[in-house]
Amino acid sequence: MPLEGQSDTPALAASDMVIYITAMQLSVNPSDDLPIYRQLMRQIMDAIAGAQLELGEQLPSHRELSERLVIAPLTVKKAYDELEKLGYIVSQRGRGTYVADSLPRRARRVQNEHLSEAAQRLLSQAYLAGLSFTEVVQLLKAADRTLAHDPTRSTPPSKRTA
Amino acid sequence: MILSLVRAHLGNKLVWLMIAPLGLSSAPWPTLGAFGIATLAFVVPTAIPPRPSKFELMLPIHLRVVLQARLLSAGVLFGLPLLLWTVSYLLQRPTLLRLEWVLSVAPASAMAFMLSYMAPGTRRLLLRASFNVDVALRLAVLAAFCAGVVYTLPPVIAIGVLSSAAVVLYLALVRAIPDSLELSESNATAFYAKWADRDEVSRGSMQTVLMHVRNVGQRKERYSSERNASVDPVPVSDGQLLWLLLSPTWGKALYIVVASIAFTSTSGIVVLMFSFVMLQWSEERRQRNRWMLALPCSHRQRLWLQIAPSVIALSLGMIGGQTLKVVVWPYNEAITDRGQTTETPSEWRASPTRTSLAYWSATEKHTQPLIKAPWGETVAADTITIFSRTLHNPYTARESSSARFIEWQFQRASQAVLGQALSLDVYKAQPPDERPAHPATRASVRLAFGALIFALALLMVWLSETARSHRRSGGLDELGDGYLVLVFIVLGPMIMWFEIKRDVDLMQVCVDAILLHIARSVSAYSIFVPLCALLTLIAAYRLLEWQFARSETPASELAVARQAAS
Amino acid sequence: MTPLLSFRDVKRSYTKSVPVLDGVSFDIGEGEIVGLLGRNGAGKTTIVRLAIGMLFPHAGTVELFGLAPTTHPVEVKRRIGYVGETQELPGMWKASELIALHRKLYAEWDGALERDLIARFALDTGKRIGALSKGQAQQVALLCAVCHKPELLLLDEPAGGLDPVARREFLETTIQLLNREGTSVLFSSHHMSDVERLGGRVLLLNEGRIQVDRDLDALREQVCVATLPSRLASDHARLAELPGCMRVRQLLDQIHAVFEGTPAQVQDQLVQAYGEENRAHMQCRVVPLEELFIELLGGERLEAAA
Repeated sequence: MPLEGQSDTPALAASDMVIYITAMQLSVNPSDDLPIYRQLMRQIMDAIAGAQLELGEQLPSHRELSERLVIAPLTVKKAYDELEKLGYIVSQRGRGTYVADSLPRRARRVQNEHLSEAAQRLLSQAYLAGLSFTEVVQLLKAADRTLAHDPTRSTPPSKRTA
Repeated sequence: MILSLVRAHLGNKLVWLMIAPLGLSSAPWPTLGAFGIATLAFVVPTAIPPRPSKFELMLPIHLRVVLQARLLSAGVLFGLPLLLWTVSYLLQRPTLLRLEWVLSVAPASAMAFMLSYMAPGTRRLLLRASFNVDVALRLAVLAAFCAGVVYTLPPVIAIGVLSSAAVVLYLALVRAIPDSLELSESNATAFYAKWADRDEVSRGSMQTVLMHVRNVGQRKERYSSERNASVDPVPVSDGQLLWLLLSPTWGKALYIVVASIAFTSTSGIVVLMFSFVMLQWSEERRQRNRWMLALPCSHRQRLWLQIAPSVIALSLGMIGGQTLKVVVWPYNEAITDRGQTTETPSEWRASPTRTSLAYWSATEKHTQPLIKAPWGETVAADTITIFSRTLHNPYTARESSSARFIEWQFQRASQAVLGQALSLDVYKAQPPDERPAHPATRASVRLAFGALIFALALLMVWLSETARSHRRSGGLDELGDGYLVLVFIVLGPMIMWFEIKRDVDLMQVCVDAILLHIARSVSAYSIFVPLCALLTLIAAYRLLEWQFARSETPASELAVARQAAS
Repeated sequence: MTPLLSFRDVKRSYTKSVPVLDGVSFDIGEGEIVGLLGRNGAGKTTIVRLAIGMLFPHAGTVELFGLAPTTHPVEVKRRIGYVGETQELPGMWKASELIALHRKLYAEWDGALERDLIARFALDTGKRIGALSKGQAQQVALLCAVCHKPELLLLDEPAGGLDPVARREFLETTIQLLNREGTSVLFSSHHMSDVERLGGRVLLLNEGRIQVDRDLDALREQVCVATLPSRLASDHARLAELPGCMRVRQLLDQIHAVFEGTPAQVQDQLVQAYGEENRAHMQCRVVPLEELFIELLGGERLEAAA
């Protein structure tokens, strides 16, 4: 899928804080707890997980992203480098950066650590709100249905093939 | 309210430091003092700037009150020296006093203030009626002081004319203030928004907010229309750029050219005064040219941009003045100085043998040597005591002396001054043609002398800003370069005092002394003298350049930084 | 390789015995972006002014491209661009005239970039600079500073007093320049969000010295703030002596300490020092730059007297 209207927009166009890469939205918030490159990494990873970014899809160049988001090019480079190290994206010299064709599974232990943190937060929020564990599970199931696609699964949901 | 504003104005000690020397120096010499008082009309508006402060503007008061407070403060600053001057005049010259002079100074000075408040340039109290000819206006103010026309009128009418003019002016001033006299909050905000970005001094959050509102509005408009317009660089010629680089303060050059022509032709001390004016002028230029510090310009280029206008103006003034001098007073120039007031009771002011002090010889204190002609005629020499040294004129001749004696003395004097013995008749018949080199020589020496003083004055300023200097906190240093102004304000009247009271032109004496020394070793007419002057000029310039490369341009924010550091 | 800018033990004061800079050393290499942070009067402006040769160091050396800016002003200034908070551009000049002067002074002037920026800023170049708004005057200053493609851009609180829109435009232009030319930048700012956006390295000035000199991201991820109840660590010195402690200050009944290390590491270290039973009372977290700035430089608040 080609990038919509990215290449023909003049470099000196107005800056939009939020940029749309096909369906992926990127934004940075300087006063966040996370450094900007981490925010970028997280958002790109989320976009891949949420299927706003297709496998093998091209990502905007360093320069484009840095000018659009008004952040230093080195920050973008750092985020891309880290993502590449993790195996989510690949960069091809002279051609650009793409989402990897297959996503890594090896970082499972690290992933689990992050996820257990998120799960703890979710549960404490739920218990505060007076929800039972089964209700939380139901919530999770509902969220799973709305989530379009998980590229880490070997078989994509049938609706995406249409 | 007015009084507390006035107290705020007058509480600034810098203001008093500016005013005090002028005010005090006007007391001992009433005649001269009148000039000092007139100068105050120019100094006071800079001490109490007509531009209202942001603080005043944000107060919920009438603008008229702000104006009145300013005028009142200025009036106090002007009135005290005026009072001092009047009293000292009464004490010293009760017989000479023409009361109407004193009385009419008050309305005239009031006019001077108010006119200067109306002058453009600093966009003073938001006056809608502002004139565009600042220089002309100031000259008019000066003229008002010296207006012989007014003073020749019967005293009552003169005072009446000046007073009513002042009242009319005041009314015009008040009327010119915007209608929204009550500065309500919204008015103040609108007002502030309009003027805030013109003032580099105060910046604050208020301004930021207002600018934000304004800028967004402006930008929206522009973006739609000019967004894709390709803008071609506007061609600007080299000459235009050079003119721009030199021009911002050219308005003052007129002053200097006119004044230097007028003064150089009669008096030498003005060289010193010019150095002072030029100093101020070039320092002002240095501040204005601060932005150039970031440009790839050499020290030399920046130095030139700084001093060029004043040097050009001074040179023009000098050349003009010297030419005028040669044309109008060739005889005066040549051998005699304007007769020094000697301690001898029977002075002969038009004596053809009253040479410059440089040619006088030292003598024992409070003695009056006898000068004896070969044939036995004697005369008691003129003497003068300056800086506790007594000098006598070895060429003294008196009105009562015989013609032969006068002729003898004149030949000796001309031998000393001009290098050749001349008879008085020959000299009077054809003075300029016999010594073509002389005026040029004098002029070059004087020019070199003035340039040297100018250079030294600049050096004094820059030395305090050299690489390794620390500024001490407190004391005179807080004045920054202002202390130099004080030096000159004190030094100026002192030299002037010599000129007026003792009729000694100190600068002239210095120049003469230099010439005399040169003449004793080489001929005073040789090319050597202008060459020496040229070398002096070059040396002074090299010194300047050397020091300029080692000095910093102090910024107003540096003072802030200093405060923050301490 | 000669660094673009190097400060070696630079000292400078304005008032005797009150040093503004008291032995400052750092280098800026090619392509580096360095943010100067510090409180008012910490010496940020002094550093930038020393770098362009407006001021002389009282001790130590300042070199750009291996040359002292005070003795080689022309060579150095050809290769740098400078925008100050108060540039004091000549108000009587038209913007076009000022730009023309710059075009003349710099051989490598980029006319295309000039036109680009004029259009982008929607500058009316026929206007006198004194008649422009502050934001626009600053844009003229930026234009003049970047169109000769400087190797090092010195920005001294360029956005000070600008509105958010103008500030953002300023930042955008700077970033475009970074992208196009790989220019190095030394900038000072009080806007932490700008610092975060420009990224790079952070120099934190405090009491005339560089207190912190490290990568922004490292600062954000490997420096954390520990909060302890004051009864635990009534002895500040003990806390301050723990390895990696950068600052200890008291805020009412809490002690805030800035440590090097990730929160987990610091937590372990603190548990070791103060005992396992207090683990629950000690919190370690990474904080945004603004918070970190305040933690490092902010004053103490002792127990309320009343």
